Amino acid sequence: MSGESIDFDRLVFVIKDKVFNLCFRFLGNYEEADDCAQETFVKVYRCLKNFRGDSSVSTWVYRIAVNTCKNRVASAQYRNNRRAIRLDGPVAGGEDERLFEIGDEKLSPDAQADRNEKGELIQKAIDSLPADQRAVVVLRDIEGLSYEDVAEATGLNIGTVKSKLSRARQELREKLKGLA
Amino acid sequence: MEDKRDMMPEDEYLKRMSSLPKVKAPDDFLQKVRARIEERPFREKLMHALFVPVRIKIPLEVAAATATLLLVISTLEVTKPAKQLAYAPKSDMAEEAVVGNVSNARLADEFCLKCEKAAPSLEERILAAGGRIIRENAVKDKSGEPYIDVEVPADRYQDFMSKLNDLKVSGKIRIMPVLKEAPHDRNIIQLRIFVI
Repeated sequence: MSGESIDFDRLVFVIKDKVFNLCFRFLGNYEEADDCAQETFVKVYRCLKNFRGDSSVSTWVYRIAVNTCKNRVASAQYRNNRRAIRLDGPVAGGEDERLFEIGDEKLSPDAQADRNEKGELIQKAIDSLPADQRAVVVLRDIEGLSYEDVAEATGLNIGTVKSKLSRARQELREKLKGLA
Repeated sequence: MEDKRDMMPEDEYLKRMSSLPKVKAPDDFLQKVRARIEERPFREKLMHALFVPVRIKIPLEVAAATATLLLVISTLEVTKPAKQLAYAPKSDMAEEAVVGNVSNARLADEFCLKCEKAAPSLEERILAAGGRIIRENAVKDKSGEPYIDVEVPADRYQDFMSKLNDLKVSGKIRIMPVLKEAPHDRNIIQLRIFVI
């Protein structure tokens, strides 16, 4: 499928939640994720005519999203925001808190709170990873992409993806041992 | 080899990661994206602000650039003589006057003049001001610069200097501190004017 034959609105409709979740898990902040996901689709719109169909559209969009998130993580403004958030601590009723309210409604309130707390700890552990490792963990372990698609989306070769994923998993498993 | 007892088991790790809550995009996401697409890109905005309408903005910019250029040139021209004076080398004779003994202190009234090479009116001005050229452009001193030695009657010294100062104001000569007295007559002041 080439770029000219793609209906942009339909593409956004189909893939927006996945891209949004990717951005959120990468950045750990709802507003940043919203902004980054929008920026991703703006770039997709502007580059759509250059899409040649070498990979699947979703992988191509993921790649743009990953690069956008990496740029955001590298930006001074993002680092300042993160520092301010860490100093202030989580805001009750704020965007960060609201995220973890999304879940299985069949769970009891206690179980839901426990799950939210654990989800927050996992997110913090993910946030502590370097950008490349974060990208492969989010794409592979959270989004469930194949190694080939992860490699395509990150621009790394499969060996590097596996190596980074192994290191990232090890680090996360160490950090999350208390949850076991 | 890693110590697996200090880690979360891999299967539990994978289970937890895959079961993290999926965060959904807001309902108005597509509208927001569309709104951002409609926004004119920064480069386009800048070009528009700078050059549109072309008929008005280009002539204005050309005029502004020309005015700026003229201002820079005129500023450079005004500051040029002052810069040259600041970097002009001191003559040995001037240094002598500065470090000389007490009996030579009155030599501090004399001036060493540096001027641009053979300004056409310089000799005439020297003569008109009552000066007398005693040696002209013949010998180079240690600094390698040709010079003119001039004698001026002490009572006409002020007038002489003011006439040379006219040349200084017009940028043709620069006056530096001082050199020596006439050995034969204390009513005569000798000046050395360096020609650069």
